[in-house]
Amino acid sequence: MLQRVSRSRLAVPSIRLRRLPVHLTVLVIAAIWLIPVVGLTVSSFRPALSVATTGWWKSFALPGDYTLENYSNALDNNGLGLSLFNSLAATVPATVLTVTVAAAAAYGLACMKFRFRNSVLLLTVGLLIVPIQITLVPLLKIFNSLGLTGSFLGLWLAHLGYSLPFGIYLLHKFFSQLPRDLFEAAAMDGASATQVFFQIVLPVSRPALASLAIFEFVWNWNDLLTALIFLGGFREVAPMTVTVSNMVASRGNGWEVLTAAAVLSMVVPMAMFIAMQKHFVRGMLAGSTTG
Amino acid sequence: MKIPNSTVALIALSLMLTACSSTTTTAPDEGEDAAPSAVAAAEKAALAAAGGEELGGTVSMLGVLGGAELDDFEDVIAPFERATGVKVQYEGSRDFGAVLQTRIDGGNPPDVVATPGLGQIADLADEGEVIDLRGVIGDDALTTNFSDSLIETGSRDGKVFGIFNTVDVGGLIWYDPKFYDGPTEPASWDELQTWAQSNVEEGETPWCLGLESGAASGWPAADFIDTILLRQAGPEFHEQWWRGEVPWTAPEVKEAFETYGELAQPDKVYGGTTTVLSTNFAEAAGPMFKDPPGCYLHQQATFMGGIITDTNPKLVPGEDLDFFAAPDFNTEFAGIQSISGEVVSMFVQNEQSEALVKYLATAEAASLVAATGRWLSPNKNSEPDAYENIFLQRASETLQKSSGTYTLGNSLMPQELVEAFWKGSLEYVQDPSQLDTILATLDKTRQETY
Amino acid sequence: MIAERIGLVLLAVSATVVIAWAYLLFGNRLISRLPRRLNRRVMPWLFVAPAVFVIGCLLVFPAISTVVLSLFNKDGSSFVGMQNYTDMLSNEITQGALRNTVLWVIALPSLAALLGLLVAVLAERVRYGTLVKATLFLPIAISPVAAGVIWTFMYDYQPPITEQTGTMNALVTLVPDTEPIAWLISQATNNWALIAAMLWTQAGFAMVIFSAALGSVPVELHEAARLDGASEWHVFRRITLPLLIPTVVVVMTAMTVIALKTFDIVYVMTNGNYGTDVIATVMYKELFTARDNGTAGAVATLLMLAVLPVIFVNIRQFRLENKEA
Repeated sequence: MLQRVSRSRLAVPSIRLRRLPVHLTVLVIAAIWLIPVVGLTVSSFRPALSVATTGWWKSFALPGDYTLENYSNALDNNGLGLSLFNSLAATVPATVLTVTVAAAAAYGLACMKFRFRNSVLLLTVGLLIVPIQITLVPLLKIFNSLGLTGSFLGLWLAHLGYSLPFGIYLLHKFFSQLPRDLFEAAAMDGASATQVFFQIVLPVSRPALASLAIFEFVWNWNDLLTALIFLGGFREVAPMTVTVSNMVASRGNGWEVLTAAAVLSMVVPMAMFIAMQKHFVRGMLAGSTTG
Repeated sequence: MKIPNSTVALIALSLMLTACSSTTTTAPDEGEDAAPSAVAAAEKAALAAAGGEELGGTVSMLGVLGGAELDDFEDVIAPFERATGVKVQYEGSRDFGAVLQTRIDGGNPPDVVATPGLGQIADLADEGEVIDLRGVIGDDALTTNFSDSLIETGSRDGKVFGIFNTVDVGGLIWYDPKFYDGPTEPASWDELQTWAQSNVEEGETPWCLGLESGAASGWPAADFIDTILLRQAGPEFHEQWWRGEVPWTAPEVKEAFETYGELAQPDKVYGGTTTVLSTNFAEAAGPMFKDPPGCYLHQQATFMGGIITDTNPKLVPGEDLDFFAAPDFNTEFAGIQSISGEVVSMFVQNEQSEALVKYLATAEAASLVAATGRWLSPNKNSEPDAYENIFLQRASETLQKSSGTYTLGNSLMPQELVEAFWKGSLEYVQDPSQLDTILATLDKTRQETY
Repeated sequence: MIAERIGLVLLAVSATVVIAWAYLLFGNRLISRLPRRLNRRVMPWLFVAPAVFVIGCLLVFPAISTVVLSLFNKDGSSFVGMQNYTDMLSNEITQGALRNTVLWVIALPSLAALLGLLVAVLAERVRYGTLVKATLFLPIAISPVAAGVIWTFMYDYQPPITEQTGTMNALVTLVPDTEPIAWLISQATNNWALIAAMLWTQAGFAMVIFSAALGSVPVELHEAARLDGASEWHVFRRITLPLLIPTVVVVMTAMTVIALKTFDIVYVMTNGNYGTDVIATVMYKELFTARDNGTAGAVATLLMLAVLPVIFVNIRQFRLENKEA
C-alpha cells in the first residue's frame, strides 16, 4: 500500500530547459482565448460609429476615441442594479440545491450497492440529452397547477431538474474513484452512511464539488429562456440576462450598449471562479489514511 | 475572519451598480418629450378608460421592444399608470413568438401583447385564444379612431384581434442630399433605375444594402419585395397572395422579385453581394456618409431615420439625411403606400387589461405615440404637424397624400411562411438564377401552412 | 427590494442546507432501526430518492410525452404513426442539419477535450497557471447569446476596398493580396466558424473537469516514476493518462451531448442560414415557428436516440468500474 505523503502542490521537476515549450504553448493558447474578450472590452469603450467603421485595434492609435456612454446607457435606469440581485436570487439557491441533491444521489449510486443502481445511472446519462425546449410546455402546465409560476422557487426547481443529470453524472464519476480503504476504515469505526457522506466523502471531493458548483452557477447565471418562462421578464424579477437583452432594440440595433452590459455581467461569474480556485489544490487525499 | 477578495469585489460591484442605476421605470428622456398638456390630456383619457376610478393592480404585457424603443413606449404608458394606479409589467423579448406560444400552451398567457407579427396573433385568434376587442372598445371608439383598412387588417372573421398602436411607412428611399445627384421625386421606378444605371457606368455603386439581422436576416429584402408586389400587382392580388390563395410561382410574384433584383444586382450594390449578405441592416447606410460616398440610396422604412441618427448623432435631418417615397412601379396603382406596425391584443380579460387597451385606442394616447419621434400614430385624426420629428412629419404627409395604404403582407402571413420568405429573399440575392426553385419551395411551404 | 432578494438568497441557502442535513441524519437513524436486510436495501434510496423523484417529474415525463406526441399530427388531434419521421428524414433541410450535426459531434468534443486536457496539465507546471486557466474559463462566464454577438463581430466582413472591422478578416488581410472571407456565409467556412466559436466557449469546461480530476491523482506515483528516470511525456502517458480515462469518458460524454444540443450559437449567429442548420435549430423552428408538435417531437426523439452510442460507452465504463470495486 502506497504511503500517502502530504503535499500542497505538485513539485515542479527541476528540468528547466524543457519548460520553454510549456510556457510558449500555454501563453499562445491563453492569448488566442483572450483576444475576443479584449476586443469586446475595448469596443465597449468606443462610440457606436467607431465600432461600425474601424476595427477595435485601431482605437489605440486614435487618441480620445473612447467614451463611457455605453456604460452610462447600460447603467442608466435599466434596473441593472436590481437585476444583479435578481440574478443572484435566481442562481445561488438553485446552485446550492443542485449540488446538494446531486451529491447525495451520486453518493448513493457510487458508494452503495443496490439493485437498480445501474439502471438509475443509465437513466441519468440518457436524460442528459433531453432538449429544454420540449419540456417547457409540459413543465409549465405542472407548475401552473401548483402555483409555482412567477416565483423564484419555481425557477429553482426548474433549474434543479435541468441540471441534475449532469450533476449526478459528474459527481458519480469522482465519488466512484475514491479509494475503498477510506470506507473500510470508516465501517470499522462504525460510521453511519450519513456520517461517511458528510465527514469523509464531501470534504475529500472538494475539487469535484467546486467544479459542479462553478458550472451550475455560470449556467444558471447566463440562462435566459428558463427565467423568461418560469419566472417572468418584468423589472421586479428580471435577472441580468433579461435586462441585458432588453437593452437591444427589437431588431437588434443599439448593440453597443450590449458590449458594456456583457462586460459587466461577466464580473460575477469570474469572481466566483477565482474564489473557487483554492478548492482545486492537488493532494486532497493527504493524510486521510495510514498505510 | 478574513473576507475573501472575491466577496469584496462583489460587494463593490453591487454598490456601484445600485448607486449608478435606478429601479424606476420612467426614463430621463434623451429624445423628444410630449407637451405637458398632451400628457395631462392622456391622463384624463386613461382615467376615463378605467371607468373613472383608480383601479390599482397590475397588467402583464408581453412585447418585442427593447432599448430606447422601450423607453419611448414607457413614456406613452406612464400617464396611464399615474392616472389609474395600474402597474403595467412589460416584458420585452426577442424570443417573443416562443415565449408567447409556450405561455399560452402552458396555461399562463400574458394579459396583453404588443407585436408587429400580426400573423401569429391572427392564427391564435382562429384558435379562440384572443379576446375580441370590438366588445372591449366598442364600435364607436373603433371607427372614430381608426381607418377602416386598419380595423380590417386587425380582424379575422369580423372579430377584432388587434388594434394598431404604432405605424411605420415602408418603401422609402433614404439619401444624403449633399452627395446624391439623382431625381428626388422620380416619376417612376424606371426613371430611378435609369439614374442608377448611369451611376454604375461612372464606376460607382448606387445602392446601399444590408440584409443581415441575426435570426431575422433577409427581412429588409422581403419587406421591399412585399411593397413592390403591392404597388405593382395591385392591392387585390396582394391580399390574395398573403392569404395564401395564389401560388408563389405566379408571374406577378416572380416579377416583384425580379424588380427587386434590379436593385440588388452585384454591380449596383456597395461591396457586392457578399457585403450585402454580411452587413447588418442598421449599418448598411453608413457608406452614404463617407467622403467619397460608397453608395447613394438606401431603401428602408421610417424607423431607419432614427437608427441612422442614433449611430451618427452629427447628422442633421433634412441636410445630411432625407428620404423620398419609392416611386410608382405601375401607373395603374399609383400612389399606394405600404405600412407596418405593432398591434395590441388581449389574451386575458379583466378590469386592468380592458382599461389599458381602451386607453391605447384613444386619440390622446396616439398623440403621445406621435410625440416620441419614433413612430407614426395609427390614429386617423393625427395631423402631420403633431410630429416634431421632421422625418415623421414628411412620412405622415406621404400617408395623407397616398391613394391607399395597405399593411405589408409578411406581417400577416403565418410565421413559418414569413421566415421562409426571409430566407428565400436571402437566397435570391445570393443567386438570382435560382428564383424558380426558390419560389417553388416557398409555394410548398404555403401549401403546408395554410 | 434588493434587501428582499438578499434575504431570499440567505433563507433559501440555509433552508436547503438545514433540510438536507436533517433529512439525511434522521432518515439514516430511522432506516438503521430496520432489520439488517431491509436496512441495506433501503438506505441507498434515502440518498437517491430525491433526485430520482425530481428528474422523474421534470424530465422523464416530458420526454415520454414528446415521444408520444411525435406519433401524432401537428396539434395532436390525429394519430399518424411514423409519418412525421419519414417526412422529416426526406426533407432536404433536415438532411443538411443531420450532416452538420455529425460534423459538430465529431469535431467539438475531440477538440475541446484535447485543449482542455492540454491546458489543465500544462497550467499546473507554471506559476501563473491559475491566470491561464481563468482565461480559458472566461468564455463560459459569458452567456451563449453574448458569445454569439462577440463572434459575429469577430467574423465581420467588409468589402475588400475598405478596412476591415472584424478581427479574423483583419488577420487574413495582413497577408498581402488576400481578400477578406465572409466566414459566416461561405459554405466552405461557416460551419467551422460556428464550431470554433462554440469551442471557444466550451474548452474551459473540459479544462475545469480535467483540472479537478488531476487533483485526485496521487503525486507519489509520478515521483516514483521520475526517480526511475522516466521522461515527463512518459510519466504522463503511462501513469497520468490511464488514470484519467474515466474522466475522459465524462468529458467526451458531456461534450457530445453539448454538441448534439447546440442551439444558441447557431441561432444567434446565422439562424441556420447558408447551410448551417443543426438538429436543435430545426427542432426549434418546428416547435415555435411552425407550431408543429408532431414533427418537433420526432426531431427531439431522433436527438434523444442519437445519444445511444454515448450510453453504450458509459455502460462499458460502469461495468469496468464495478469489476474494480
